[in-house]
Amino acid sequence: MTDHSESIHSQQSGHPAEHIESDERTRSLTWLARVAGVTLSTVSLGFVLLLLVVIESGGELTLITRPFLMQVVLTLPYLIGFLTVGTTAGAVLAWWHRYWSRRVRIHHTLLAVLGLGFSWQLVRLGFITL
Amino acid sequence: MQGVEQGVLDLDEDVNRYLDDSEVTVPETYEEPVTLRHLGTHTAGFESAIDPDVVADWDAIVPLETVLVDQMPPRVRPPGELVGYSNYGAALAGHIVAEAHDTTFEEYVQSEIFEPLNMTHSTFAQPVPDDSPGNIAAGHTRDGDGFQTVDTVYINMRPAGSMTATARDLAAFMRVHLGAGTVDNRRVLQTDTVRVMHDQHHVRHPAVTNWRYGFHEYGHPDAGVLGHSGATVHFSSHLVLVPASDVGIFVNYNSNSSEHPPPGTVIDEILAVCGLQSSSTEPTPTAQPGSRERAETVAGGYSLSSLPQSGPLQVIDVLEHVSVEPAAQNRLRTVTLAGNTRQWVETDPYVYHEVDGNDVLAFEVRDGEVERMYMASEPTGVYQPVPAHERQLVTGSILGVSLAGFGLSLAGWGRQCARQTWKQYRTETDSVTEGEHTE
Repeated sequence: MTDHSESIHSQQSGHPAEHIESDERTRSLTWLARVAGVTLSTVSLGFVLLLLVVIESGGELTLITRPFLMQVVLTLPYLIGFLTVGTTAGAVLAWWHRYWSRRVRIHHTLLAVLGLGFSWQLVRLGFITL
Repeated sequence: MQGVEQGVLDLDEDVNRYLDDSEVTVPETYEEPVTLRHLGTHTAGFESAIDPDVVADWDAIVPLETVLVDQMPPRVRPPGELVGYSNYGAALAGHIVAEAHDTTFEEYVQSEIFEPLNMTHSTFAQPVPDDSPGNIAAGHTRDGDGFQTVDTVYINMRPAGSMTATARDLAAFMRVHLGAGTVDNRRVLQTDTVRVMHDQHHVRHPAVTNWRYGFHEYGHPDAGVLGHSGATVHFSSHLVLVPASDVGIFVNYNSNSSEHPPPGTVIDEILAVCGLQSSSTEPTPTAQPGSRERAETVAGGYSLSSLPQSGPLQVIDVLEHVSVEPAAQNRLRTVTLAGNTRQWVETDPYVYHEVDGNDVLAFEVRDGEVERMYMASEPTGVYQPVPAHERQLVTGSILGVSLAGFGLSLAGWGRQCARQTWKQYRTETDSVTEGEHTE
């Protein structure tokens, strides 16, 4: 009986140890969401720049013969797709659990929308095969 | 066609019948089978791919059968429906010839065409054997005001783009077609066979260029000129036959056609100078009312069926979309991203002739909706309407806004990080200063 009431108490007001664990989990989730957003922006811009650099230096032929560097570049769209999923999940969680300030949440949501649009076009242009 | 003469091959037989001893089998995606007539007119319905499996190293060349098994594209439409140029289809036809004669394609062509025609400098062998006569031309690419040579590349999906020859040898090949199958009393095709090859085998639209066997009509649809272009990464060529005038023209550059006007430009000039192609005249507008409404019906974006529909090369399809818009005086205007703008006059309902040119544009319209657009100068494919959400403007806008947003976001983060670092630095500096004062 005592164990049971403790359990209810713990669920309602939270054990200090669980508070710490929950805070760490939240911190880790918010950190992951922010990292996904920053990495999504960086990799997306990096993909376009690298693609242009490789085609400029090796010619259009590189899209056909696919030297090692082009093979690396062509894996980035899949990473972008993965990061878009992460950023979008982060945005949903942020509104659900009220992480961050409203301004940061809007910023993160905009990034997720941009990521979804960019990934859609990567699928449309054949860089991502579903 | 030699196989057809011998009764070994039939243009209307299911190609799988010739592949019993081969690992290649065309899947039965549609009820109608793929035939050699479909392969010779690029109407088999395979998804088109620009890349005929170009490899940078000759030791990456594998047997044709392996390439055909490993790289079989999906069948995306019933055979005979519409043209979509397919290197795979050409390679499959080559493999069928080899299977029917129990040899390889390279050996068959060498013994049955090149040797009888004394085409001593021609081969499909890759790399070209060291003991072959003559010197091999190097491909070139533009380098500032000049050109520089490039490394040789090889093509796995032969016979597509993999023949090495000289202009003199190509002249012999053209003479076979102009001379009803013979050159200097050496016959490689019967007269009737040449006639059959030069007959129409697939009609895209009566008003535009259509397909003969292995050749398409070239230039003005009524001119009776046949042709076929060729291009690899660093070479471009065009071959044209004018059987009525006993003229053949072959133009080849050892550089890509993006580096200069395409070989067809030179051919057009030769045809014009020799009076073999009617010069452009001011088209007469149709007397049928409703031109404006028809121009509005056909307005929109169009994509060519011979361009890739999957993989990273699909970007070429998006870049090559043609936009059709109504213009003043009931004309049409076509615009491409590369800046090629042309005006067209409607001469018959849904048939338009180019202003200051010989090109013809025709639309197939059903129930007020465009199903296809045909351009005489693009015989390798058929244009199909592009849905609004797939148009260049939508793609460009989304990509542009996304990249701008990502850039601004990173800049914002950078600024925030810099501000925090500065604040931290100031706090630490202030606390150290305070500490010194206290001491």
